[in-house]
Amino acid sequence: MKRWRWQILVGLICLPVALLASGFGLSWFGEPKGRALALPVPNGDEEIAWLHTTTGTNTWERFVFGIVRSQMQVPGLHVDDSAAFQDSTTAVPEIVLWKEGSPGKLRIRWYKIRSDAAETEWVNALAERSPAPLAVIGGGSTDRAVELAKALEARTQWRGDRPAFLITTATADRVAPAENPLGSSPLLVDLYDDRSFRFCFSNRQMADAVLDFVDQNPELKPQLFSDTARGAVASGLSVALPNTAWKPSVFSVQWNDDPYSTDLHEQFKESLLENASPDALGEHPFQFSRWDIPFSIGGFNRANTYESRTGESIAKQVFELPPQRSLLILPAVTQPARRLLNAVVEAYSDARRRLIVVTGDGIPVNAMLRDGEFAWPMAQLGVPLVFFTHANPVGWDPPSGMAPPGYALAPPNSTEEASHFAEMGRIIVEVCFPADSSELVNRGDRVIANLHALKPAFFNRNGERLGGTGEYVVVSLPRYRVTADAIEVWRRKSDGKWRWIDTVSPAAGGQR
Amino acid sequence: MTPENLRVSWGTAAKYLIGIAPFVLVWLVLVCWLVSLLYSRANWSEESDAAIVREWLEETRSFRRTLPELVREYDQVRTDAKDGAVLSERLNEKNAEVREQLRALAEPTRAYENKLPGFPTIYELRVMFRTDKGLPEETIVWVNPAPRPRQQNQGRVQTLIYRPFGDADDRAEIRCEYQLHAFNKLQRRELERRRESLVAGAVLVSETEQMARAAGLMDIRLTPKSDYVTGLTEWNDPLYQQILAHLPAGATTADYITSLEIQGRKP
Repeated sequence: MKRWRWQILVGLICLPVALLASGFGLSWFGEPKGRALALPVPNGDEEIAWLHTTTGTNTWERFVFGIVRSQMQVPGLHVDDSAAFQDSTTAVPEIVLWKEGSPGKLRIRWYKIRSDAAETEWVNALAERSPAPLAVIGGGSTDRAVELAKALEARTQWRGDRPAFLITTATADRVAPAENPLGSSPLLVDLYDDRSFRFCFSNRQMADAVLDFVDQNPELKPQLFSDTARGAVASGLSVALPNTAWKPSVFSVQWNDDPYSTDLHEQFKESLLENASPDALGEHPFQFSRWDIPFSIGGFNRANTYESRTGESIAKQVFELPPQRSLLILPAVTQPARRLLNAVVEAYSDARRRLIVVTGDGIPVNAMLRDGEFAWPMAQLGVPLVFFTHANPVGWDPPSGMAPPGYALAPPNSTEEASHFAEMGRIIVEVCFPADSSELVNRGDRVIANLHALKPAFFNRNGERLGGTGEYVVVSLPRYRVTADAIEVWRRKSDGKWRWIDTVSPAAGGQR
Repeated sequence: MTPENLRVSWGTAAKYLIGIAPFVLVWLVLVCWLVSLLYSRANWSEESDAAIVREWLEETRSFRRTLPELVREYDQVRTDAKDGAVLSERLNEKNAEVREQLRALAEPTRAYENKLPGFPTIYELRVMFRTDKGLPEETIVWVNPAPRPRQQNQGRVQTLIYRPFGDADDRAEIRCEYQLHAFNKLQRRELERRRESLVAGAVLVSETEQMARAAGLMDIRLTPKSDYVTGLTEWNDPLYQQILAHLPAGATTADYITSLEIQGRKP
């Protein structure tokens, strides 16, 4: 043996080198592919899982922004964001919250939904780990919320209580079942029943708010030509027009591949039918026209074939009407809405002055305020737009504000997301670090009970956010109506009236 | 020398050979490793580009769904249409949706040609469905109307093949023909590849002569051209700088590597 020791020694050194050189499979060194791995939770700490797609970096950044800013609302709260933004894109970012006097820490972690690790895989991975998360945050859009709610509902065995589902910005009231689109549509918050809580307003609440605002504003309300130009009517001009309308027109479009769009469309329609007063003949006061577009994919400005046809059809109908003000319901996110509106005004440029567009929260204020030169060029589109936000979009900090370093809100970025997530953070802290205990909550059932017991109440018994007050409506006014493109922000008061908050100019980077 | 002495010296030589064998083995392994590293370095840029394009196909959501997700959905609709579970109108709409997705993916690279990081150009995006369970073969394609570069033999246009149902399932295939990087970068990469191949594929002078003989040449004359290799060191390539750092002080790569002019006569 002694005789061969040098040979054995050199052989042992050479073997790994030879293996490396030959490219021998060393797959166990790397991260396993296609697997969802839930991180361990240190003893005494608890976790909330934030499930979002890999492309949700901006949303995570806004979420962290809001959670850090919630320190301004909750005395004694500390937030450690040192692991919130990591160099490796495959890492699991986390923010750690703790309160003075409470020994445990709450870790909010972003588990990334990928093409090889979807919602179900993550829910299963979290369920198999001990402890189970207190809650799962998700639902940035309706389809994502549906996927996550179904995955949570399907998983019944957890190493602890089943977690609460905290919906961030998914707004659909109802979702059509994929297996039977014509069947009855369950409520989104009922898919994972009794454990879902929606922090944003629902589509119905948004539709009610936006239509209520339009109804209270004579400058925006749809009207007949005879109402908008009484002089012309008196002169007999209306009689000379080939097709004098007898009811104000409401055009509506829905994108069938987007549950947010189909549901918001339905909520606008129901809100109009329920809230509009009948005309002199006891009939509904509006003339409805509706278009369906099968899918939402398209170019940046170039409409897809179906959008193009719809735009031309709407333009034709507007052209054939007398020059009166009509309502266009556009339940969509920024890109499809912009493409369709482009198609309408390209086909008939005067449609700009004859339409008022209403929508929900699919078009963010940033599309006009910060990115207006390409995302929503107000001058080019030229149609006034009334839309909804869940929080104040112009709530910037004063120059001498008390915001944590690096977390001040300043124009031209709108503040709606940060304010929304700060409110969410405040509520999470309130239910996880309850005032009547020095301990961090360690059960999902307790979180759910605390969410229901919030004072003042934030949710109804079904987990929906309470409405009727606190909603924000934003009106974009193109320059032909005012001296320069402008954005007006209004808020609904507890008496149901709308209070003007601010008017800002996108061209001036959000300055008043 | 007596036969006994000869036997003893053979035994001694064998002992020395056995003793030295592990070190020779280490040296050979390290040489092989270096060659392998040089070859892989010559190709890492293409592999990195392919990974970027793959990620782009896998993660880009023109509207909430990626191209592989849409392809899988369309495959399901094709099956349902064959079984009569959906109307042909739905099949047409889904076809148009996939077609629109291809267009939407490629559109920014056309609209902002030579302005995007990495300078991507997409020449063709093709989705192919194989004949499966009675379903006909089908292709949905987007083709860039701009002319392709003529120097395709220099590897300017790459092709990535992606299988949305998994690598082992060829029901559908996405084929992307693309080019990344500006022309200058491509040329530099090509030069770099040549240089690395030159070193990695180098053989001994004596082997070169043997190879020439094996090829049937006679009266072979090898004339070293060390100036060429000396020139290599002036390219400021990081790899060459690393190699130089490991050489004895005062030595250059030209002391170990040379360029040869080979003259020979065919009998």
